[in-house]
Amino acid sequence: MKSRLRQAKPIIALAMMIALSGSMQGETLDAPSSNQPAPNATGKTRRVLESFPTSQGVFELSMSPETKNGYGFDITWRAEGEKPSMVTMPRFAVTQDEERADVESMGWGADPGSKIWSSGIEGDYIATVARPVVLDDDTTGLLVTQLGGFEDLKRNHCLWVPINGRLKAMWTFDERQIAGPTWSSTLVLPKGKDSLGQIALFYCHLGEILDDHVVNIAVTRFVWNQEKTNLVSIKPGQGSGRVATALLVGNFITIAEAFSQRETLIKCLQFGWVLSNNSVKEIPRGHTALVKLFVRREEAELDKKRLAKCGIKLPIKIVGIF
Amino acid sequence: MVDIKNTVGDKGVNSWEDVALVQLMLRVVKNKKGQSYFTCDYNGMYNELLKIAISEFQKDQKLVTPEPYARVGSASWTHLKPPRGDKSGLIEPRSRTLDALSAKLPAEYRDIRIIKNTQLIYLGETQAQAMQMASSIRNYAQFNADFRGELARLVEVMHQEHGIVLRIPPTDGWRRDFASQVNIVAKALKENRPATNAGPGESPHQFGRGADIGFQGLKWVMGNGQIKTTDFWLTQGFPGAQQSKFWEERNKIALRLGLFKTNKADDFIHIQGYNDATLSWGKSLAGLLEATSPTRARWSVAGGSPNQYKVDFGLGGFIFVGTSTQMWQGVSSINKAEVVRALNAKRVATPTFSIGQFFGEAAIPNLPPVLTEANITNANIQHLQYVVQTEIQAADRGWDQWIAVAR
Repeated sequence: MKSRLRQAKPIIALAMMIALSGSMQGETLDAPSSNQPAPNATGKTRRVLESFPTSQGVFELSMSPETKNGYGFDITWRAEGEKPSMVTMPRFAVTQDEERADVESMGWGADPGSKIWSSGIEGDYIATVARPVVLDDDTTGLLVTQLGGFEDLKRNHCLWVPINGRLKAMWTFDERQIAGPTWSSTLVLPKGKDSLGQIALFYCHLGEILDDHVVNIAVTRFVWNQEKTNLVSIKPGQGSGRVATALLVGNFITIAEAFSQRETLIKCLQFGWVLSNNSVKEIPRGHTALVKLFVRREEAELDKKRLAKCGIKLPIKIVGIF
Repeated sequence: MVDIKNTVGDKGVNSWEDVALVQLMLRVVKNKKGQSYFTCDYNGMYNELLKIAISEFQKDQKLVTPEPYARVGSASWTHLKPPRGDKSGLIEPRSRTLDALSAKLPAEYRDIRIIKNTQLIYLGETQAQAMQMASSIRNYAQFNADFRGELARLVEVMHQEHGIVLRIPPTDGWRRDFASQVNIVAKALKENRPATNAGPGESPHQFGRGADIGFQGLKWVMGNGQIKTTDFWLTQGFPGAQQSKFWEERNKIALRLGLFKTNKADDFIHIQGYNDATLSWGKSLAGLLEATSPTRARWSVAGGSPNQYKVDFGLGGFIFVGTSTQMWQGVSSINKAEVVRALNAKRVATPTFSIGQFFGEAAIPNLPPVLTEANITNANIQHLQYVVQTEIQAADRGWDQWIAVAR
C-alpha cells in the first residue's frame, strides 16, 4: 500500500461522514437490474464501482447519490426473479470522486487483485474493498472492509449474505469500538468439515508508540440453522476440528524476543506473519511464535521449504488450527 | 462526611446518586454481628429494603428520636428540650445519621463520590496528587505556554469539582517530536500494518498544543463494594455505559477553560488547545515549514493520502517532494523534470543565477542555455533531498510557531 499511496494523485478535500451508530442501513430496491448508473430524483447517479457475479446472482458495490450523510458505499444483491436488496456500509464519503488501487498486502487482508476504492484526505479519507466469500455451493456472501481516519486509521468489516432474497449482516467487526491505534485484517477460509465458509480475523491494539504487541486470531464459522433458513455463527471447537493450516516459526519466551527475531527475518518471512500467543494450541502457554495462516496445507508446505532455503535456524512447524 | 445532596429513605427525594451512596455505605458498614445492613449491590433505586437498612443502622447507633417524643411532636417539647434525633428510615444531608454512617466507613471508602448523572461510585484522590500533576504540566517546556496553563487548570478544577486526578500517559501523552511520529509510521509500514496516515508534523501531539489526559489510577467501586482501579483510557473492566459520562465531565471543564476535545470520533483521551473541526494538517504543516524555513522556501500541500507536499525554493515554481515521512527520512520523491522546469524558469528570470551554488557545488561549467534532465545528476537530487530534510528538521525545532490552518 505504501507505494500506491506515494503515487496517489491530489484529490479534493472532502468531509467524510461517519455513521456514529455503526449500524448498517438496509432497503429493498425496486430499480431494474443493471450495471449502468441509475439517476436519482436530483439527477445525480448511483455509480457501480464493481460487480461480483456468483452462481446465484450478482453483488454490486456502488456509491450512492448524495444523501444527508454524504455518499454511501452501497451493496446490492440482484438475483433473477427477486427484488434487488440493498444495504449501505456505515462510513460515507462526501464525493463520488474515488480513486482505485489494487490491494497489495495483508495491510488490507483482501485477496490479491481486489480493488481499493478510496476518496478524501486526512479525516475525510475513506477506502472500501469487497470480495466474495463462498459459504457453500448455493450461498456466497460479500465481505466488505472499510478503512478511514487520519491519525488513527480504523477498519470495519462486514460479511453480507443474501438470506431469502435480502442482504443480512452475518458477521461484523469494527475497530472504532476501541480507542487508540488498532489494526485488523481478515482471511477467508474454505468450508470446514461440518461448517460453511469461514472468516479468520486478525486483531491487535497497537498500544503506546513503541510497544511490542501480539495479534489475536479468531475464526468465525458458519452453519445453517435446522430449517436451513438462516446462517448462524458457531464458536471455534464446535463442529469440525481443524479448519486451516498455520505455519509456526520459533517459540519465544518473551514478546520482545519474538519481535526482535521477526525484525531480523523480515525479508525472508515476507508478508502475512503475525506475532501471536493465544491462537494456536501448539504454542506453549505464555510463549509467543511467528504465525502465518494458510487456506491449504500445500501452501504451508511450500512456504516452509522457502523459509528453509533462507537458512532460518528456528524451529518451523506446520499445524492445523482450531 | 460523605456528600449527599438530598434526603434518602422514607419519603425522601431519593435521587439516583444519593441512594447509590447510601446503599454502598450500608453495604460496607457492618453491624455487631459482622453483617451488612444492606446486602444488595448498589443500584440507585430506593426501595423498602433500604429504608429498613437505614432504620436498623439508626437503631443500633441510637440516632432516632425516641418514639414517645416523636409521637407528641417537637413543638410541644420547646421547654423540655427533647433528645435530638433523626427521623427513622430517613437520612438527611449533614445529619447525625449520615455523620455516624460516614464515620463507620472502612478507611478505603472514606472518600466515596459520585458525579451527577453518572451511575458509578468512585474514590476521591488527594489534593497533593492533583497539585503534583498540575505542577508537572506547568513545568513542561515542550507544551505551548498557553496550553500548559490551561491543561494544568483542567487538572486542578477536575480535582476541585470531582476529586479526580487526571494524568498523562508517560510514553506518548505528552509532546511527541517529529522523530517519534516517524517511528510510528515506519514501524507500522514495516509490519505492513498501516495504523496512521499522519506523518511527522501532522499529528496533534507535535506542536505542544495537544495531550492525552485520562483517568489512570482512578479507583471505582463495583456494585458489591469491591474496589477496582482503571487505566488511562477507562477500559479494562470499567463499565462501558459510564465511560462516555466520565469523558463528558472532563470535557465540560475543558471547554470552560478554553480547551477542545478532538474531532476524531474515538480519541476520547485527547485534549487540545485549538478546534480541529475544520483543520487541515497538511496546510498547517506547510505553514510551519514556511515560517521556519532556513532557505525562505514556500511550501504547499500537493494532496493525496497520506498528505504530500511541494516546495518552491525561489526558482520558478513548486517541486513535488512527497510525504513528510519521506522528507524526514531524506528520501523525498523529487522528479528531475520538475527541477529542470523550475531551474530553467529561474534562469530566464535571473540570468546571473548560479546552478552550481543552488546545488551546493562550485560553478558548473558548460551548461546549455536550456537545461535538460541530463544536466541534473543523482548527486544534485540527493542534495535537494538533504535540503528538504533540513527544512522539516527546522520545522520540528520551531514547533511553537505552528498555527492551525483551516481547510
